[in-house]
Amino acid sequence: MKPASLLRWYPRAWRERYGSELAALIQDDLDEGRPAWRLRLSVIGGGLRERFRQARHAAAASLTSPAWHNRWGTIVLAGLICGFLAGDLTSPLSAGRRSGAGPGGRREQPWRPEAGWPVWSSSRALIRLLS
Amino acid sequence: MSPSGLRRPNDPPLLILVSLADGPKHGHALAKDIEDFAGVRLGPGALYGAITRLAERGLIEPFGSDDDRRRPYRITPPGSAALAAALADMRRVTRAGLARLGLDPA
Repeated sequence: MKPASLLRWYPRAWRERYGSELAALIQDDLDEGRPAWRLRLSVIGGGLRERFRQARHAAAASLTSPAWHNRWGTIVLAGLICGFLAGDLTSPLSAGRRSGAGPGGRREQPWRPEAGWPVWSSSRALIRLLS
Repeated sequence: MSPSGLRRPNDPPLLILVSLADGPKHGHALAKDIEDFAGVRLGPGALYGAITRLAERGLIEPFGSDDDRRRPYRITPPGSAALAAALADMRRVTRAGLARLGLDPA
């Protein structure tokens, strides 16, 4: 068994830092007559754990990176706009305005500026949130 | 798990800190020492996994050597503090257990 071949189970960055030390330790253990299969299992297990740990760190780092902040910002903004539009289209006020009839079937008064207050205030809140 | 990552008496990081408490050692010397005082044989994978974590947390550090293959490590002041805290916790639990078993002479 060649210690260097076992090191391939570890990530490259880890090998560059600790590889020569681990290879020396494996060789020392082999020289002492330790069972090769036990050494192999230990090194393979350690390498897989290290790869899993680095993958987990990389995933966590990518989710908190500035690029992901921008993506989260876009997602939140898109959600706000969709919610804003959906709320506006389904509100009784805008429905009545579109059909020209009130909730009771009677003809509604022509639209007045003060009747648009909810839409206007929502727009201001959205602009304030984005600024 | 404690902030230092020490959990139980046969936890590799704890054993490594205990081994380094009396001076710097490289990997093979660490494994031999731990086997002598704790009866635990750490495989190369477990030993270097624990060394990696301890070095990342600043509890141990490489100690000047030109030989990359036999690089010794030493315990840092935060490592000594973490070890002392972990051993104090274990002593408290040990005392309580011995007293409840009626085995504590004190």
